[in-house]
Amino acid sequence: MDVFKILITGVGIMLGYYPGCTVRAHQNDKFEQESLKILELLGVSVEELSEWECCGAIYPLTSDEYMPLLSSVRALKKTEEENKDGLLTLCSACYHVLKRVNNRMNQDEEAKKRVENYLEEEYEGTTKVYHLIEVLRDHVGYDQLKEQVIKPLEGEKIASYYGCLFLRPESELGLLDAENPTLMDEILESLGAETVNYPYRTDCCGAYHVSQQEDVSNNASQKIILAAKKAGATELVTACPLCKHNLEYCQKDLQEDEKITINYITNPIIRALGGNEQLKDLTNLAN
Amino acid sequence: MRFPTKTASNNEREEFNDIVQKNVKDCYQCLKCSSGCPLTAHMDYYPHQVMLLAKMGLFDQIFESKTLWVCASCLACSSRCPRDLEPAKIMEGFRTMILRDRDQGNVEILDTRKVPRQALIASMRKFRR
Repeated sequence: MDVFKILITGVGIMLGYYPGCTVRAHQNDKFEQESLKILELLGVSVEELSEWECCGAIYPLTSDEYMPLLSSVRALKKTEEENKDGLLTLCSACYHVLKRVNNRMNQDEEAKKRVENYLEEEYEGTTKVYHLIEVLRDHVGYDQLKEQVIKPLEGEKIASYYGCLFLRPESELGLLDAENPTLMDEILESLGAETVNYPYRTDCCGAYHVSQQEDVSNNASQKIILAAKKAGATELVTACPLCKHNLEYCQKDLQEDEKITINYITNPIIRALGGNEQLKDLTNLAN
Repeated sequence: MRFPTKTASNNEREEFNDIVQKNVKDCYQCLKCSSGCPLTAHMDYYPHQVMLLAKMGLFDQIFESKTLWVCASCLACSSRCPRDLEPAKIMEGFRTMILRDRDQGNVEILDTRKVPRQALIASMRKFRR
């Protein structure tokens, strides 16, 4: 029965997969394994690019710098060469950088010319960049997801934290409504969980300040945690490795009853789909 | 704010315009940037004040301000600016001018603990050179 389910859910696209430095390095978080397992179960074919390098973690806001675009363009070009329908990322920083670089290559003639000159090859800016949750919405769909749920997350109040990287600028990323995003909440609701609406879910967590001015990032993150806690959340989910680290790290100064569990968005999905053990059997059957 | 003694030279203005390619004179001080900024608690000048200083050509005061090293480029200001001036880009412009001029930024990496690589790479690229 389960095998049959898997066969009919195939969505017929083949995505290139770009792991990114942080997701690949933090294997203990299981973000990568869980994401790939979910995609396999839902019939999305994913294959890692044969070669990739770090996207640079930030998109250069300066208009006269072109070198920071190179590594992302190489990955986008590689996707095209390997005949993939798009490039999948899990980390929201990679998503932000790759997508914006792609836009820049489409719109900025000067940047395109300079990058192409340097790389000595042409890139037309045709690669589509996808985020994991975008694939779940657009290619899998909530109905498909709902059908696969074995253990609905009843009685759980989950707050989703979006962070800045895959919301803004909305005109370029266009994935979510930057002021009132609902995508992760919709996914959680289709899993049967209750979602929590709270302020600051689109605010910055302090980002890379954690490596030089801890108080800045801790204050920003604590504000988010306390707001979610006050709204009654029992768990907070995010899709960004840096947000997850900041939100966890800032809790060292909080009281025991103010703390909250931080998970990747994949964690509740895996739980609803039957847990890691069950999925292991399923994927074995599918192979 | 002290009474200004020196405004930016033509060279400085030109360099700044090359980097940001925005006309800061369009700013009409609606304060949307400062109202939405999540990190104002740590700033000496608020984002709209940086915009005002830039508009008046008081670059030296901006170069000395703490704000440049607190902005995390979360783009809350940029996405809400009704004049599409992108205050985060303006901050990046001034920061870049300092970084290109001197060799180092104003921040020290604490220790690399178990900070995700993403944070280290990003802060090295934003705040140091």
